Amino acid sequence: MKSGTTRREALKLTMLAGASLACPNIVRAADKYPSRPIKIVVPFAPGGSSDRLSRVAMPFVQKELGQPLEVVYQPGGGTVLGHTYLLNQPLDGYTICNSAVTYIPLTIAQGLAPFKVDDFSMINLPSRDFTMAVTAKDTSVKSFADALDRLKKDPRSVSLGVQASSVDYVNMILVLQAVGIDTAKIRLVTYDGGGPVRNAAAGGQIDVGFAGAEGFINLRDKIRVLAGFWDETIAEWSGAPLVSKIATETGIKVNYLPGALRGWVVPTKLKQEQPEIFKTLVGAFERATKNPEAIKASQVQQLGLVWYGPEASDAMYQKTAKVLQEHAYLLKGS
Amino acid sequence: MIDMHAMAGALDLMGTSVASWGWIIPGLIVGLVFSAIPGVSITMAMAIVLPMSLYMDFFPGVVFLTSVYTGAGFGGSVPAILMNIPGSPSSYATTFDGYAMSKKGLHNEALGYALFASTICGLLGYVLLLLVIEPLASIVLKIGPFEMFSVAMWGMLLLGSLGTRYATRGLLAAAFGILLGTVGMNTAGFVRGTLGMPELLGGISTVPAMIGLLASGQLLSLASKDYILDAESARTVSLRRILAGCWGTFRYPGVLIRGSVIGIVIGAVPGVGSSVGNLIAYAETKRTAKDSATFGKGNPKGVIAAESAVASAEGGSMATMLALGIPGGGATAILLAAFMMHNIVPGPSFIQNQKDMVYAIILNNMVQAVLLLVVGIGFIYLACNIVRIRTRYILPAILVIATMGTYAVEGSIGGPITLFVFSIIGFALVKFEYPVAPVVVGLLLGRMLETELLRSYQLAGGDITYVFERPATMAILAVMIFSLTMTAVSKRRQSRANRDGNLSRILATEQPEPRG
Amino acid sequence: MRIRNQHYVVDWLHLGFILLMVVSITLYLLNARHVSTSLNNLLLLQPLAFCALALCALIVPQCFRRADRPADADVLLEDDPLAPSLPQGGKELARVVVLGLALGLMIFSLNVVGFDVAISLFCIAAMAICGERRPVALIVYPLAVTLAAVYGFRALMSYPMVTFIL
Repeated sequence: MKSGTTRREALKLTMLAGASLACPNIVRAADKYPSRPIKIVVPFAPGGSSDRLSRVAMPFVQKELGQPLEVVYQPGGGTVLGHTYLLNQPLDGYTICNSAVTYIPLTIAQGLAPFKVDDFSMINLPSRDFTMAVTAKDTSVKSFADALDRLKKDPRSVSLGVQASSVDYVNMILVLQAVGIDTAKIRLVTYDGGGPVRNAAAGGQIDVGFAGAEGFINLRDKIRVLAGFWDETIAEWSGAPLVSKIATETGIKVNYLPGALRGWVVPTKLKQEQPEIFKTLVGAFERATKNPEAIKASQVQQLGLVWYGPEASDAMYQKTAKVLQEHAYLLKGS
Repeated sequence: MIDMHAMAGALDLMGTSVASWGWIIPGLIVGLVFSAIPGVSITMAMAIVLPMSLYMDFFPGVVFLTSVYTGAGFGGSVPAILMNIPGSPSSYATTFDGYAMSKKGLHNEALGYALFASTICGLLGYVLLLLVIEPLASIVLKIGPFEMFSVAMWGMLLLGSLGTRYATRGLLAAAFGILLGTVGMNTAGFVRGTLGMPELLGGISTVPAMIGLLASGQLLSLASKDYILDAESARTVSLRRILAGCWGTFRYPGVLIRGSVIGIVIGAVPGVGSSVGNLIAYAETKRTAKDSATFGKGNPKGVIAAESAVASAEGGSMATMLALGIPGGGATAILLAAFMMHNIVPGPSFIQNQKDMVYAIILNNMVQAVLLLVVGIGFIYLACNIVRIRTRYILPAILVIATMGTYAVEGSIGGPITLFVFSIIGFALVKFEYPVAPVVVGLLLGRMLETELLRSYQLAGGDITYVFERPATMAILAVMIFSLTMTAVSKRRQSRANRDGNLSRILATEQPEPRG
Repeated sequence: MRIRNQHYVVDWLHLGFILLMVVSITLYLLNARHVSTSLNNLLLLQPLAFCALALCALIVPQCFRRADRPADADVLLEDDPLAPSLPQGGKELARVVVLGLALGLMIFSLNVVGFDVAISLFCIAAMAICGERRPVALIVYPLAVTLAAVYGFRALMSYPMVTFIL
């Protein structure tokens, strides 16, 4: 009697367990790389440009690699958290990173990062963004010149928002210093990603936000562009007042840098110690990026998807890193 | 508020997409089963099926994913009620009264209450969404660090309403929990307390830690019992009683509505997620209830409050995602990914130009909420059988599943080790009569508290009076202070009442538990 | 223990636990201060750590109880409805502790002997601890759990696991 009930109980439990077995088995086995899904580390909070760039390329890269990709967010510490995380993963090619590499030299120069510029190697850096200063549609900030005027009178009168250790941050400081504003006294809020900066600016939580122009497309109806930090016209922001123009009008001299440089990154160690894996990755990304459908998809989202390749991307990265390290002193005390 | 033309278009879209109807039930089942496994969160359940949805057309794909979302929102409460293990942080508040009901042999009813609250509030969430999607989206953008900090504090206030035998030990447990929550690299880039382990950079993994803390107190002590429930008569599985629970939910419309509103608003705020909403909804319901002393002892209102906030949070986070293109958390980030893979970019222009699609998605989610009731009843009927299995079978299986679930979070042995370390901490806490709940809540909210406090400080430039310029913060703070005072007052009144009626109540209702 | 003509009962274990708490909180605070004394680092952490230490100091007296008084002076509420309880009997408590140790042993051996072996051994041990004695059940059921867990989770998650046989 007793053993009868227990057997039935056991059967019931096996049935319960069996339910979890019934689900489809996602591609497994085969020892050849890649034989399981690949993690893409995005060192920002969800919703920023790196997130979008990963998402847009994912279906095409997935097809080339024959394995699903999954995005893992590791926001915090001005990208140091995500980048450190990447370097601490096993060198098996199952963790790569989609990041704005401009943060790397800046966090290093600020003494926040436990790594070096050379610890990272590029697969491809397709996207170059530019800083844009915006305010919410209904704020009292009339124009960029107005904001600067007010800040000059009282550095605490206008709150500013920016992502920690970003090029946007450098650009903001460059402008403020050019006008002669005491940057030690400003009310500055730092965020863990361009996405949160944009939301905060669009919602009027902060008076002026500085972030990459690309990511503002979704929020276009909620914001007013105060200044664009670029020289040649960008089609989708053709009406934006340019910083250089504002500067000549107000009679100041301003220097600024191009914004975030974005793309696919792996640890240099992986490239050196697992050249085969690196080659596989590069091949897959090259084919995916050149896929006409992928190009079309990226245009819909106004994200540039161009193939430069590892060599050209590395060169671009190293060159930008040098310029940024020269400017990193501006972020002292942040 | 509702565009009738677009509504007609939406109905047409739903009518012509036959495939989309077929994906609802499989999606719900996948969501229910996966999220009922401790350690597998809503986000993970959705990430698992994301590759599958890529092979579908856009609308069926989205239907499938949102069905998984809906199912997963409820699935976590099944282990929470039956075994006191929340499947994910969002079902933590469900354990308070859900498990207490189970211990009394009311597991059928508890699951019924939870399911029906989930269904109704999921539905309610989407109805509200249909009406206010655009205004809600603009309000959400206005919620800044002060407000977020206040919300996190509100979550912590739950501790005050939980009550504890020793006030000092409760406070220490809370402080300890928050400190644990701040381990790792903070938002300003400073690394603390990682003991040199890179795995801890992102903080202590909350799911394994939470399961560990809770498991040691109750799960392991099941070893000394023959069944989860002591009384043999209580170990029944009854469809009638599940349905009675469902039906009973109607008796508490106030609880449902309050829970839904809290769930929607908090769910809509990017980066907060449903893990705070359920705590606040529970605390608020307990505070306003006349019988608040019975909360935590198996009051169905506690279950309903927690579940209603979780279910309606889905609608809230969908609002932010659809209207602004902002993913509030992992689950909506995955949905956003699915949208983008079909070259559809959510945001203000999407809801302007493709209103019929937005309506179709919302309407379909309402259908899902109703179908969840049917699928859910079947699921909990099966799951209830756990109480009829002897612990010698159930306990090893559950411990193995929990270990594997925590391994699956990160794919590293770090998860199970966290589980074990926190089991030891939990054991010590219980042994020396420290409440475990404040540690769990502190751990869940510690990081958010620190980040938002830091941003608030930056925004105010170190000047506290700045808070007075933020009407929303003032409002939240006012509600909080009101809530605190009321709790204190009602507690006092209750303890006075208890002192008078304690003896008679004990004699009348409390029967000594038989030991197995 | 005797303090000023008064007999006290001391809960040494609890005292040890508080000491452990104090040590870990202090170490954490020192570690954080060592990293940086910047406000961005210590804004929440430092005041909270001080609070926690102060609370520890307040709790220490609770470990001492006058021998002639019944326990518990600091009772705020009648009882914490949510407080989990451990079994009081020595034999039952021992069961819980042994099961906990078995769980730890399994966790640390997962990657050493393989998930399949560790899980089946743990299941056998756990069943035995819970009172199962019949050899057939002790063999068949752990096998079923192992198969379900290994194959189920392999299908479910995308990460690899070390296995000895399966």
